[in-house]
Amino acid sequence: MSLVRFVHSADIHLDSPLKGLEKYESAPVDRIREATRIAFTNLISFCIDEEVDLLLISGDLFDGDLKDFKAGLFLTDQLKRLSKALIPTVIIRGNHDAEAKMTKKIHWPNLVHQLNVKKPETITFRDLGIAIHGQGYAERDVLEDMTQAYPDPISGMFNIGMLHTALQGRDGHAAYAPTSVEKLRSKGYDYWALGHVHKREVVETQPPIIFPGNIQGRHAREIGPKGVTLVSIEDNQVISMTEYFPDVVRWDHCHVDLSDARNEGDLYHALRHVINKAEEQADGRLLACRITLEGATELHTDLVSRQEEWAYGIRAEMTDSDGDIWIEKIRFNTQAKVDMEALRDQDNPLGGVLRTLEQLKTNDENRDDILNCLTTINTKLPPRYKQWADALNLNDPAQLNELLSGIEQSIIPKLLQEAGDS
Amino acid sequence: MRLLDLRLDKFGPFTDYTLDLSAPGVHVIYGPNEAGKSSTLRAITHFFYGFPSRTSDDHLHRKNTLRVGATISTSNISTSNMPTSNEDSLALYRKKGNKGTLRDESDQTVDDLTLATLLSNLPRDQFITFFGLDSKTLVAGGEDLIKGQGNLGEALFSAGMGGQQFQQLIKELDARQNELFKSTGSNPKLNVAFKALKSADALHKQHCLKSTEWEKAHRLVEEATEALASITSKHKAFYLKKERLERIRRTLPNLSSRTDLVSKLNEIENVPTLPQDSSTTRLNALSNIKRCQSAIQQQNQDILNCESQLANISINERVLAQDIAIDALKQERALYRNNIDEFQLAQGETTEKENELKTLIADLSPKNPNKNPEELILTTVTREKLGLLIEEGTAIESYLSRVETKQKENTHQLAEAEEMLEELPEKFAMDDLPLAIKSAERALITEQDVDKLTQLLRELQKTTTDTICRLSLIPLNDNQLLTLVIPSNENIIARKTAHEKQIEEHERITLSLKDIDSEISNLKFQQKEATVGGQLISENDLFRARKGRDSLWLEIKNDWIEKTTNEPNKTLTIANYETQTSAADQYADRLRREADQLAEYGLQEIQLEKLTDKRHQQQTTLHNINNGLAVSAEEWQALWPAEVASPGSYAEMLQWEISFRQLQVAVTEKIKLNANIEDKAPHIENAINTLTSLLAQSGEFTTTNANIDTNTHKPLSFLLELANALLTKHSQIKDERQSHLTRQKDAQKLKTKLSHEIAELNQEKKQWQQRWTKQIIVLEVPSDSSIHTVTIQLSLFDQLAKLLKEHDQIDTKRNQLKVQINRFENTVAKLISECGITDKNPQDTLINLHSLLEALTITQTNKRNVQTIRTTIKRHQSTLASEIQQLKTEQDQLAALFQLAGCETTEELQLIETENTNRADLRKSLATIEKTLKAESYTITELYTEIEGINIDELPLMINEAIAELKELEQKKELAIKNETTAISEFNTLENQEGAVTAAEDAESALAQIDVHYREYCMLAITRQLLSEQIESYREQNQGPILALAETYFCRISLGRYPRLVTQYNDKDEPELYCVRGDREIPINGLSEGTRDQLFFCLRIASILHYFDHHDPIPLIIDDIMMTFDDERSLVAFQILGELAEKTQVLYFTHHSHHKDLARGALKEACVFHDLEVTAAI
Repeated sequence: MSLVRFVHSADIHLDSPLKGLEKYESAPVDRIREATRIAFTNLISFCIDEEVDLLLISGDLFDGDLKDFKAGLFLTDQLKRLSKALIPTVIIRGNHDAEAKMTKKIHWPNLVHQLNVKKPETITFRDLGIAIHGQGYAERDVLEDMTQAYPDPISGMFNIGMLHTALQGRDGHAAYAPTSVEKLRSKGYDYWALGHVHKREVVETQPPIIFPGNIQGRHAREIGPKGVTLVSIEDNQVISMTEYFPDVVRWDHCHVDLSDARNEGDLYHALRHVINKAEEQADGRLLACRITLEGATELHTDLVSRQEEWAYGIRAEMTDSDGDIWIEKIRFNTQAKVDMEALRDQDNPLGGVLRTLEQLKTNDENRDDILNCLTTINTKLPPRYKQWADALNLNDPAQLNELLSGIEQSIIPKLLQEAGDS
Repeated sequence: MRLLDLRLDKFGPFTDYTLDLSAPGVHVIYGPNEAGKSSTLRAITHFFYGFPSRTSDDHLHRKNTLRVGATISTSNISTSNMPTSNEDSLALYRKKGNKGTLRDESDQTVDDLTLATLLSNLPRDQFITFFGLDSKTLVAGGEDLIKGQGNLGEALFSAGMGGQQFQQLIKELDARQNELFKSTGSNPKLNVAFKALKSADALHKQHCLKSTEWEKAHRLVEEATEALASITSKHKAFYLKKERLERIRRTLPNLSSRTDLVSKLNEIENVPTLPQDSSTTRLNALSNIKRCQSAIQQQNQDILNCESQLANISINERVLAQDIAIDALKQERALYRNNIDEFQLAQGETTEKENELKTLIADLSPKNPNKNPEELILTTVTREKLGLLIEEGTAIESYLSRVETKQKENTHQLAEAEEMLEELPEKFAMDDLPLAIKSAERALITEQDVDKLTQLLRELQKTTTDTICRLSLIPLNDNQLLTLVIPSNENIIARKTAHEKQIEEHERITLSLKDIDSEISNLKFQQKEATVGGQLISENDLFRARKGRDSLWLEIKNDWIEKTTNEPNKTLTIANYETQTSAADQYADRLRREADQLAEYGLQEIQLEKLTDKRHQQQTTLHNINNGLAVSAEEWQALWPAEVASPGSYAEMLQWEISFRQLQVAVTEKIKLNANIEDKAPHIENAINTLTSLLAQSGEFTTTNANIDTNTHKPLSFLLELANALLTKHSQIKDERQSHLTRQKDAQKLKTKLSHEIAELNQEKKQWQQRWTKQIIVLEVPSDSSIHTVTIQLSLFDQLAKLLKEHDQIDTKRNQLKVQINRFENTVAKLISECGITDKNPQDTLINLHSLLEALTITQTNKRNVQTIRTTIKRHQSTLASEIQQLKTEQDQLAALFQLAGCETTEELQLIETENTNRADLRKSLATIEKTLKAESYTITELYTEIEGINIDELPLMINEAIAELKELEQKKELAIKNETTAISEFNTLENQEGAVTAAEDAESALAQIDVHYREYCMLAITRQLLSEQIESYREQNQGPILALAETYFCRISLGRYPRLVTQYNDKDEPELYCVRGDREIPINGLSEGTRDQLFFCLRIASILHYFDHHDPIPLIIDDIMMTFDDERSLVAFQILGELAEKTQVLYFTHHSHHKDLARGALKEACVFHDLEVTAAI
């Protein structure tokens, strides 16, 4: 059999807005808004330019309950480009697609095959010598191992299994369609094209079991290059697997250690150093960056008391630079340069406050009392915010503790405000 | 822990300055302005915690050399004079740096933990706030007390934190919270973001393209497309019909012609078919046969001629065998001639060089003119040595000359500088002048301050005098004015309110009495009216009258019964009855009226009685109010001091009170200003004295100059001007002298250097001379020959060497030429012999060579001729063969034509050819017609089929009908296209609306905003909540001991005016602090500013002492806190500090000299004084 090449992609999440979009002056909102669409267009162009034989999309073409049909139309337009180039596409529906009722109404272009959602289906490409087995999600919460019902491999062909799964669990991803590497291997397929996990992962090489990751990072937790896998096979053997990155916005989370910073110049120097590295890794793309300032620093008091001014200054500094960068958020996680233990041990009001905070962090008995002061605002909070992925959830002990640490660090300069070099 | 000493080694204005702090008691450290008080305060903190990266204390010493030290006692009791052993004390110092900055006496690094432990691990900031107390903190603490409206928890918390402006912090937290969120607001940031999110979500929903919407639009497009397709199809059908009819009209004539042609062709179908060009072929073949036969004959004749020529040519093979060698000689012939010429030239040159050599040897060695020239050639080493010696000698001479010239110039410069120096004064005594000027400049600023203060004082004095006049006060001094106690504003307002209430009550009662009196007289009048004329009957009369009425009614009844029984005339009876009852009714009415009148009279009686009682009560109340007014007037009068005439109305009182308070403030300010001016005066005086003294020393300043008119000149500024001028002048002279000194020094240095160089050069020259003498011997010149002489002789030797070299070269060349000539001549002779050519002139090589060349040319020409003839024969033979072949071909072709036509003669063949031409023309016409028909894109058969059954006459009509139908369908199609375009356009519009994405992005943006603000809000709210809880908790735990202690101190410091501190709960059930004065509880805002500061001072001291219950003592550092304390209260404050000094070390810094007296008065022996003087600092 001659050389056959296919692209394995997943988790397109079309029209998923990039999260945490803070619109400040000169923020490149248009480019951010269009990012998922452009990334998908890039992927299609890549398939056409490279003259690949097949495109696989292992679930989650859309983002949740798709209300806007235009995303569907955009998708079909792009897939039509592939059809014109005589490149077939095989799709399975993921949990997000199952949620989006409107996707059922999409008329797929020629050469686009959406696999059955009620039972596993096999589609064969005799000319390519490839057989594809898979099943899409009929509903969002698929909690059983779907691969049990997958058919046996077809002899003499290159067998690919398509599955939207979290395997035995992956951080930050719902444990849908659970299965194990052993079970996948036991099916005897030549390649497992998985989807659902947004971070690229080569789970296994014999046979290849691959999560290609999503094609465009959407928030500060989806950092680094995002792309697809180009697989070349010859005589039913995988001879190479290379990555291609169609993403147009590259996310990063820059931790700036200010332990040695003594003035504004030091801060910007440290910041520039970290940002430069991130820019290099962004490889000419727009860098969407979350900045966390951290470390015990002499600047802590100033940073705490003038957060908005500092945030403005940092954004202005980044905008003035030559780099193509968008600051998504600036987190102030610095600490005062003091001996916290010594402060807590003091028999004075500040010591009392700090001890109370420490108790709250380790003992949840009094937490409800302290959170009572938020009852009013919590009732006014929009439900949309509560469901938001990045939302502050004070019922989560880790998040509450982080907040309490922030309070601890902000209260020290406030209560020692009058102190100085006297 | 306490400090036994503080060593300011290199810090701020100090150098090696030590403060002995070992003695017990309060250490009062006095320092006027600029004496380094603030520096000393900072030095303590820096010693404990290290120097900060940026410091202002490096103006005298370089930053990295800063150093402070201290000896620390680790014993806890401050009363012990000195540590009991060395183990109890630590002598350390702190230097500037990043690591290992704490050192012991032996300069070994000491761990910072040592000090941290002694400081109870207090961080730097907290040490400063908690154990540093200054007037600013005190005033801020006092202000915070009033902002907190005496909230006890907050007061204790603030004091416990060292006077941090807690209320300000609370206010900021609350303000920021409100800026972020309000439950009913619309402007706070979170509220705005909530709204934005809602709006974005709504917009998103609105812009989202629903699938039904899309499907509807899509369906419309499909329907329009279908309609268009249907019409298009119909249109196409009619179009085809019209086309078919028009085609029939077009093809009909052609089809008819075709039928005729086919018929004609069929008639000549059996004639043999000849090639189209058979006629041409036939004619060409006949002509070619004739030409070939002639050519064959000609070629045979040419071959015979050539063979005859060959027989007449002969070739010399021996010459031909040597053709290469002979050719080579021909090439070398020119070289041979040239070599002969050059050989003769070289012969001549050799002779010439030999003669020149002889002449030169005679010059160089006159004694031995026949000497072999080789012996006179210098070796390369000798020649190089001589060359180097010449270079070296020349260089030494040149450098020596330059140095000697430079030495002369330098000697001149030195003389000039020494001359200038003699003219300029040598010594200056003005080294102290810059420092004095600096000090005077500072004093001048102080003087300007004093002027301003004096002006301010004058204004204040005027204000106070005016106010005193306005208030009609008897003359009092400032202290009397300050101690004068008058009713407070609150008291006046309270009394005014009470008085107004009493007056109001008085008026109300007076009015009420009037009303009562009016009512009584009214009632009495009514009663009188009722009794006048006996209208009012008595009770008994009324009783009797009622009885009479009842009897009368009984009579009427009986009369009625009787009459109705007996009297038949009912009409009369009824008339009687009516008369009787009417009388009875009138009587009854009268009775009722009388009864009512009687009852009313009774009621009036009761009312009258009540009014009388009420009147009596009101009169009593009025009496009491009058008494109360008189008493309060007396009390009020007693409240005003004798010096003050009590003002009249309450409005006047209030105005008076405000003016008086302002007066007291002004007086306080005046006292402060006076003190300030007094403090500054010595400093100015010192500066004047110092400058005067220095100017006098300089000789520039005489008594005449010093006698300044103080009305027109400020002495200090005048002196400063003189001093600055003097300084400038002296600086200029100093600079000039310094310049000449530098010049002199440089010239001397250069002179020494040049002398040394000259000596060295002479020595070098001597050494060279020795080597020179030794080396020039080989040149056969005298040993004392100069460089010039030797150079000339050396050039002759060089010339000899060159000549000899040239001679040898020419000789070598001549020999080489001879060899070449001989070799050429021998070769020619050899070839002549080998080719068998007879020698024409055996001695002449060139003639022999010519013979050889000639023989070779002839032989070669003959050989070429033979070859040419042979080639010609071959060509003729080839042409002959070709012509024979051509002849045969033509004959065959002609035979084939005859065979194809089936004839034998040329005439028959010509006839068949004509028939063939006719048939071809017919076929051509048929093809043309069929081509035209085929252009219709149909086969001939189809076209014949199409015209079957067509009536030609009806054809035009049918075509017109089809065109009309088509026209109609075209209009319909246009409409369908328009419909489809509209539907597609609407569909595209739906697809191109991108509002949903923008709205989703806006929603994300709003969510991000909410997240940022919500996080901040949570932090603020929890912080606020924590602080509130902590305040309460701290109060609960510490209220008892701290408040008790603070109460004692406050009682003392307020000179017994406020003996107690109590707490009261406000509406929110929060405890508030009140100060008890007499039997009244004064809220915090009822205290004067100074008293509030003192209260905060007491709370701070109490908090510190309470802290020491659980922690080791740490020195307390106080910076001039008694700015708002009067002397009596200051005395008490010092006493309290003295008591505190028994628990921990107390260092009190002040720039008020009279505080020293106060401290001494309060503490006697338990007080140690330190003066930070300017001189000490410098």
